Amino acid sequence: MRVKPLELIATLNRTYSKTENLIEQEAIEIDAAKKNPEKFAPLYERYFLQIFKYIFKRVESEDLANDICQQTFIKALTKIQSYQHKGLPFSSWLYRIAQNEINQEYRSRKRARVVEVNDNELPELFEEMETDLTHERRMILIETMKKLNPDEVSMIEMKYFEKRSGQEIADILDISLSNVKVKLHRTVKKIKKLISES
Amino acid sequence: MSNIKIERNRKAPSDEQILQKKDFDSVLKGFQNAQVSKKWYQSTKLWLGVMATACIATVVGFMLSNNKTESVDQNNQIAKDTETKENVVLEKSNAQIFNFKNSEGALIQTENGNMISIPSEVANSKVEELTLSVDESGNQLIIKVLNGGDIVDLNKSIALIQNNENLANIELLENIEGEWKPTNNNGTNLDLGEAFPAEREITPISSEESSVEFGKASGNTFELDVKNFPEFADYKGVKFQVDPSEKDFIEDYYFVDWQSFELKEKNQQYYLTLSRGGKDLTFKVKPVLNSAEYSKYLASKKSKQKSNSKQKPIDFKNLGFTIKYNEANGNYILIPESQSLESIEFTDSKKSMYKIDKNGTYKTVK
Repeated sequence: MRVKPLELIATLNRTYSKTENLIEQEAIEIDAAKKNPEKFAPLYERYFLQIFKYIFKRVESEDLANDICQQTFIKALTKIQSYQHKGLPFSSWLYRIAQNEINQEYRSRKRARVVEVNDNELPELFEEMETDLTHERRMILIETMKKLNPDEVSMIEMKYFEKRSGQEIADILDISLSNVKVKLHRTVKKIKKLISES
Repeated sequence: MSNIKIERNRKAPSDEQILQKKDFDSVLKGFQNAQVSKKWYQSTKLWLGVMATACIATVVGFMLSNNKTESVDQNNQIAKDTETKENVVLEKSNAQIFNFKNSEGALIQTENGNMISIPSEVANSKVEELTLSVDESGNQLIIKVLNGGDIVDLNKSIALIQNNENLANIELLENIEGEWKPTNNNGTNLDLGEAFPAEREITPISSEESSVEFGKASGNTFELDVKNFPEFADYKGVKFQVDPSEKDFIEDYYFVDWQSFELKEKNQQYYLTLSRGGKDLTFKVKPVLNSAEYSKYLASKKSKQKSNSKQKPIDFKNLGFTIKYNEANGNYILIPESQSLESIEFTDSKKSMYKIDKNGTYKTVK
C-alpha cells in the first residue's frame, strides 16, 4: 500500500504534527488556555510524553527529568499569554522552554551535559559519514562526541538519535532550515575528521 | 572539550511509566504560586515605581550632597547670627509686651497695676510701630522701648506711676539709658512735662504676649533673625519649625545652604520663604522654644491667664491727677489737676473717688 507523504511524516514522527488541521486546533486550545489556565490540560496531555522523553535523554535521572518536565509546563503556562501563533507547532515552543530549563539545570548545579547514545541509532549517522560502522568506530564516535560543542551535540542527537526532521530542528532551535542543514553538514564533517584522526 | 557525559544504551522508562508521572494539578498549582510571587517582583507598575523613586532619590541626593558641603558654613553663620541676635533681645522671658504707635503714645497699665505714660513722638524716629517691654518680676521694674529687637533712644520722658500699697511714687524715665528718677513723694516740684498730656483717655493696653503661640522645639529647626518681630523680643532662642501640614517640605531643607530666609507674619501666622538659585519656596512655620524656655513660656502664660481672669481694680494712690470714669465707654479719664500736687483726687474702678493730701494721707471723697 502506497502511503501519502503527509501520512508518512505523521507515521515516522507522530510527535511533530504539521498538518494544518492540527495546528489550527492547537491555536484554539492555546487561546482557551490564555483565558483559563485549566484549559491548558489538553496541550499538557498531548505533549507531556514527548517533552519528558526529550528531557530524559539530556539529564542523568528519571526523577530529574520529571522535575524539569514539570517546571517546563509551569513555565509554559506562565508565559502562554505572550505566545504568538506563527503557524509553527506548539511543541517547538515547548521544546525551547524545556531546553532552557535543562541548560539552567546544567549551569546552576554544574552538571555534565548528558547525551544518550543507543547503538541502534548510530547506523544513520555512519551512513551520512559514508563510513562503515564497526565496534571500534562506534567507541571512537562516543569519545568524539565529548569533543563537540553543545550546539553540535544538539544537532547530532536531534537529527540522528531522535530522528527529527530538519524543519523540526529549525523550529526548536528557532533557526532557518538551511542553517540547520549547514550546521549538520559541518558537524558530520567534523566528526568524520575526528574519527579518521583517531 | 565540552563537559559531556555519554549515557550509552541507557534503559529508558516505558511510555506507560512516563505517563504515570503526569500531574496537571501540580502544574496548575505551580502556575498559581508563580503568579503570586510575580505580583511583587514582576509587576511592571512596581518596577516603574521603583525606577521613578530611584531617579527622584538620585536627583534629590545629588542636590542635597551639593548643599550639605556648604551646610557647615551656613550653620556657623546661623550660630553667629543667633549670638548677635541674642545680644539685643531681653534675657528675661517674664516681660509683658505692649505695642503702641509712636505718633500717639500710650498709657499702659501693667499687670501689677503700675501705670506707664508714654508721650507721643517719644522716639526720635520715623518708626511708627513701637513696642514697650515691661518686666516687673522680682521686685524690679525694667521697661524698654523697642523697634523690633532694637532698643530705641527716647527724646521725651516716660512717666511711671507706681502702684504701691500705701503710696504712689511718680518717677520719670528721661532717657532709656538712665535710671528711673524718683520724684518727691509729695511731688511738690514735679514737672511732668510731656509725660502726661493734658487729657487722655486711659485705655490700658493688655499684654500681647498671649498672641504668640510657641511650640516646643523638637527635631530640626530654622534659626532666624527676628529683630523685626517684637513679639519675640523677650524670648531667648526663638526658632522655627515648618508646620506639619506642609507636605511639600522635605526634612533635608533644614540643612540646605539657602541664599536667603524671609520671615513674614500674616493673621498671626508665620511664613518662611527660602530662596536659592532664583527659586523661592514658602512654608508655613511656627515659633518654637527649647525645653527650658518653653517651660518658662508655659508658666508665664499660665500666670497671665490667671492674672487676666482676675481684673485688677485701678487703685492709684497719691496721684497728682484726677482720674474720672467715663461711663460712656468704660474708660478712665486722667486729668491733671494741678502741678502743685497739694492734693489729688482720683477714682478707682469702683468709681470711688479719693482725695490725697501732700502728706500721703487720703480719704474717700465720694
